[in-house]
Parts: sequence; C-alpha cells; structure tokens
Amino acid sequence: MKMVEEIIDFITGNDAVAYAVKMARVKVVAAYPITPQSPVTEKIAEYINNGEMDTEFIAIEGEHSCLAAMRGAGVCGVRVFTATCGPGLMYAHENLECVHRDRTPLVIAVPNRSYSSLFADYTDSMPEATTGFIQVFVESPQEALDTTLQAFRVAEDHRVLMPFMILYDGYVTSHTGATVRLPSQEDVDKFLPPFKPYAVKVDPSRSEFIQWEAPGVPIQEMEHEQAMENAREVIKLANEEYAKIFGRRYGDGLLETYRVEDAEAVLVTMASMTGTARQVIDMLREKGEKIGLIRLRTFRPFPIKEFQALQEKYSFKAMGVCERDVTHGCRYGEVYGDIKTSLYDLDNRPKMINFILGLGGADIRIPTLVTASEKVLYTAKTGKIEKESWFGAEIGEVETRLAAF
Amino acid sequence: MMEIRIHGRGGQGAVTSSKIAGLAASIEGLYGQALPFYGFERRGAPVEVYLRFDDKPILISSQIYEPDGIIVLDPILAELGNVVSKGLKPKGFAVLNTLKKPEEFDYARKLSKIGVLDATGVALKTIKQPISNTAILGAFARTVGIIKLSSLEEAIKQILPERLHNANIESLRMAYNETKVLEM
Repeated sequence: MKMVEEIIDFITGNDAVAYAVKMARVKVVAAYPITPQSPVTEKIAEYINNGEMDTEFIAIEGEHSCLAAMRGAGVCGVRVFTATCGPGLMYAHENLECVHRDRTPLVIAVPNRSYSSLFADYTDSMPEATTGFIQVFVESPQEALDTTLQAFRVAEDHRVLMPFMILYDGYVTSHTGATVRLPSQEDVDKFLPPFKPYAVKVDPSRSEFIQWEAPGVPIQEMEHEQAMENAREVIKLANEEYAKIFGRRYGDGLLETYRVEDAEAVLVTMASMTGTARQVIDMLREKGEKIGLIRLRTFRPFPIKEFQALQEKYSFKAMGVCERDVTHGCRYGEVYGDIKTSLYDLDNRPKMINFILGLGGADIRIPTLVTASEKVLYTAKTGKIEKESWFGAEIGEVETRLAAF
Repeated sequence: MMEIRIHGRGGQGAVTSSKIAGLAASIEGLYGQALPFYGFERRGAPVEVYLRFDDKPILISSQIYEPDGIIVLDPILAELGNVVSKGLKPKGFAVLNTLKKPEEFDYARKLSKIGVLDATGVALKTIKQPISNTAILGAFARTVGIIKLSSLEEAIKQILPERLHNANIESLRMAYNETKVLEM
C-alpha cells in the first residue's frame, strides 16, 4: 500500500467539514447562518472567494428556502451540500422530508445544538429521524472530515440515493481545535469519483414543476426502505475503502466497539462523549470490572442486525444507553427505544438502562459516566434495575455551561 | 497527557493562543486539542480555553477540571487565586501575565514551577496593542518547555495574517527572554 500524503494541521470540526466539502468538488452550496454552524459555510465562502472552489454559492433567506434550493440543484444532477443546525434544521423540516422523495443525495452537516441553548444536544436532529436521511454521528474533527467524504460516496451510490446527515456535537466538536490530517486532492479523487446522477429530471435552463407521479407513495416508501437497507452495506464498504486509502477506520462504519471482550456490562455512547467514556472504561477495567463500550455511529439506518450480532456474541447482561435527547412522555431517548426494539426478540437480551445526559450542552464528565457505569455493573451483577432511566441531574451532572454567563 | 487551562478576557486572544499552541504541538508530531468555553459577545469578560497535549490521539472531550497547569493572560485574573487555581494539581505549573514577583502568589506555593512576565508590556512594545496572547506563549515555552519556540513561530506564521507575523514573533521571542521562572 502506497502511503498517502497528508498535511497535519490544527483545525476545528467545522473547518474540517468545510475542507472535505472543498475536496469533494461540490457544485452548489446554499446556506443560512446559525450558531454553531456558520463557520462551515463562512469557510466555504472563503474558499470560493479565493478561487479554490468552483462552486455556486447561494446566500439564501432562510433554511426552508435553503432546502428548496438544494432540492432544485439536486434534481439537476450535481453534487450538493448545505449545513445547518438547531432551530435552522427545525425550520427546514418540511423540505427535509421531501429530499428523499427526489432521491437527491444531498449531504447536510449538522453540528448538533439544543433548541433552548446554543450548545450540544440532539433536540434538533432527533425529530428528523423519520425523514429518510442517513444519519451518522461522528466523534472528532478528524472523523467529521473523513465522514463528509464518505457521505457523498454513500449517498450517491445508485443502490442508495438517499440524503445524508453528518452529525457532530456543537461547540464540543464544531469549535474544538484538534490535530487533523488533511488528505490531498489526488487521494480524495481516488476515493470519491465525480457524481454520476441516476437520472437528471429537469432542464436547469427552464422553470419546471417537479411532481412525483410514479410510483405512488406506498410503493415509493417501500423502495426507500430497501435503499436504506442497502445503505447499511454501502456505509460499511465506504468505511473499508476509506481505511484502505487513508488508514483510518471507524468500527464497521455502523458500530464501533471498545473492550467488549468478556464484558458483562456495556455502555452505548454517541459522538463526542465516547472519548470520555473510553477513559472511564479503562479506569473501571483497571479495577477489574468487566465493562466495555459500543459507539453508535450510524443511527439511520439503524444497525439492528449488528446490535443483535454483538449481543449474541458477547451475551452482555446489562446495557446502559447514554444519549443527549429525550422523548418527553416516554422518559427515554430515541436510541434507547431503537436498541431495545432491536434486541427484544433475542433470548439472551440484556437488562437495559437509559442515561439522558448533556442536555443543553451540559458537559459530559468522567464522574457522571462513572456513576452511570456503576449502575450498569450493578444490574449486570444482580439482575436488578434500580430505575430504568436517569436524567444527568439525577446522577450528579452539573450544567457547567451556565457558569460562563 | 498534559492538561492546561487558559484564563483570559475576550479580546486578549486566548482562543487564538490555544490554536497557535495546538498547531505548534501538531508540528512537533504531538496531538493537540483546544476546547474553548465561551458563548457570545465576550469582549472584556473572563473566558477559559482548555488545552490538551498528548503523544497519541486525544479522545476525551469534556472540559478540564483538574489541570496540570494554568496560563493566565490577564494580570487581574492572575491575582484571583480562587478562580484561576481551582482544581490545579499540587505539582502543577502556572504561567502568569503580571508585574508581580512569583513569590507574591500564595496559590503558587504548592506548584512545581511558576513563570511570570509582564506580557501586556511586551505586547505594547511589540504589537502596539494590549493583546497578550503571543507574549504569554513565549512565557509558556520558557516555563514548561514542552513546545519549542521555533514551532510556535511556525504556527504563528500559519495562523496569523502575514502583516502581523514580525511583531508577534518579536513578542514571542522578547517574552521568552524576559520571563522569570521560579522552581519550587
């Protein structure tokens, strides 16, 4: 294997995404500013202004129109990208729902943020879980760059043709400077060929009305479910192909495991909290506790079979699911519900506990994750569940963000 | 892993100093992480940035509560021991922008090293503005030595606009020479 030439730089998650968009030779970008997303599109505008990107940039009046513009550009058969988050993503909801009906492989970067504060939680993207977007939660600025490149390849694959959302924690990843390896244009071109549209539906020189005529909605939805089923394999393939060229691999693309061998208890984490959780697993392993970690990378399509396979292989006795969202009225988060559903049919399914952490950007700290792990270990050892779901504030989480104001 | 908490005020360049330090570490083959703790419209208000260095990729993403050292860009904040030394490890270090002597800081007695510099004075002489960030990095390089002066110079060239290179590199070097280090 020929070593790739990469530049080592120190940049934020937002800048890492913008760099990947430049390398992907995106043709149309429309965007509206919102914190903490704005630096992504500011950087892209800078690239275009400097002549480093040959891209049409549409400074648009809002996210609802932005998604409409992206759909319009998408059906003309070019590579398209936008970024938004928080209330912006919520405002875009109507047109988000439409994108998969066009089978436009639009890629959206979302530095997750709460509706009620500027900081990270999944209040913005979780309501979009049913809009037909592939949703991948990334852990670090480097993974944000790598996943943006993979996103175009997955979404544009003719077996998939579904839109793709890259999710990373607002501020924690979007504004954190990190040592990042920047791939060269030559190497990126090897991984990501130019976009070949399956069909170009409109002539961009004319004003046209697009209507989904055939097949009708019931058949269309069934086909799109098949496309998502295909996406599972295509995500895995893209992850492997990427690793072959650049040497970086994120689990199997869907899930990533850490010290799960002989584990009786396991934590499930997402995005940036995972790194902190790895340290907690190391600390508890040193004390002889049999605990491991599964990181949920791909949330849509949900890795149902992969969770089942891990459970059948390792027979975890207890599983603690940590997530930055809650469905009020259920007292659990979306991920918890999905994992529980996936494992329900197994004879050796684990006891499950949900930890709703880091809402409104509250810092997810080592002590909080230690307490969560202890509860999962208690259940693994005794078979008893003290309480099925815990909010961070109930296990010692402090909203340290507020101290800044 | 080394964990450092930077204290400053909005406008003094705390975030920029963390980017320069992070890039300098990356140039040396280390891994860096700079996590700013800020909201909006912070000019003049206290800000914190969390800086980590390691020889392997840094995965932890939480804020720093028990730093190995602190870097303080503002002379008034440097005197607020209950703020800046909170959670500071007993054998840690402090790099302070101050006109005072190292012995005058009560909280520094438990530390292994303290470096002091009139960073604002250096900044006024070199970049003609009270932006103490590159000066304090010179003091940091002198006090702790984990990152070389030459790497910091290279990082300044990559991060700051070209018209600011000379003054800031002068600020960095002058600071390095003028910093007084007390080892306990």
